[in-house]
Amino acid sequence: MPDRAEQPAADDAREALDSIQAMEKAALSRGIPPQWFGASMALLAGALVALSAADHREYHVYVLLLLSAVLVHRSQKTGVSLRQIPTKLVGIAIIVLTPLFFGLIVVAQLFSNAIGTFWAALAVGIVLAIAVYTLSLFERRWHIARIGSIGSGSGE
Amino acid sequence: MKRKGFDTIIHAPNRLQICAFLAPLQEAEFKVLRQELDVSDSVLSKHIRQLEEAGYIEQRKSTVDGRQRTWVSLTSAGRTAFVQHVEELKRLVLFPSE
Repeated sequence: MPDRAEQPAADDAREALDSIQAMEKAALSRGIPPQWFGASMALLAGALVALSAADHREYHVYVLLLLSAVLVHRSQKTGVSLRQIPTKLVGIAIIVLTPLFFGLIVVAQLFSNAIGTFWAALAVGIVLAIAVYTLSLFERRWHIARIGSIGSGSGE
Repeated sequence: MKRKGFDTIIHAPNRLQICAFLAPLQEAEFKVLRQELDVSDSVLSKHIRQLEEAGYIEQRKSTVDGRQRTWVSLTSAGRTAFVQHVEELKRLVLFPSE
């Protein structure tokens, strides 16, 4: 067990707390999701729903492999991986994106007779890609706000 | 004077910085930690070993493009000890005479 003794003076404690805040900010700054990451995830999510709508599910595996590669590349490139803290944004993403994904497939099937399977699949793919990209922008903003809140008394 | 949350293993400046950097993360690469702390490999290794011996940190090796990379993360015991340590530091700042 570690030795728990020698309490520092208040000034030392304040200095230590400042050092902690600086390192937490540095860690979170490194973990800010890059813009290419949000764009890649949006494109791949769009491709996934478009392939489902076009009834080409046999290609899903390639999209999922690309998704894994993007996730691994992100952590390799930044050298850090963030703790997954359940946030309101994650909740919203799950609540919005899951029904949207299946809803868009149904919509594409309904419109495929009118505009053709290809165009219907492409349209729903674009809609989901925009939704995912928008959420990624919100996540980025939330992340930057979290870094700004460290030390201001409203941080975690 | 003994204090419940104060931890001398964590409180050493470099080890405090290591724990603070790892706290919001799932894991970080050794190279990144070295850059952030601006210390040599041997100094960082020494501090990581001390934290590892206390059960506060664990390491994971991975190979990417034929090069070995080391990833470091806080254990749950390390996370708890760090949180308690930070609480104790805050208490010392707020109530220095206690």
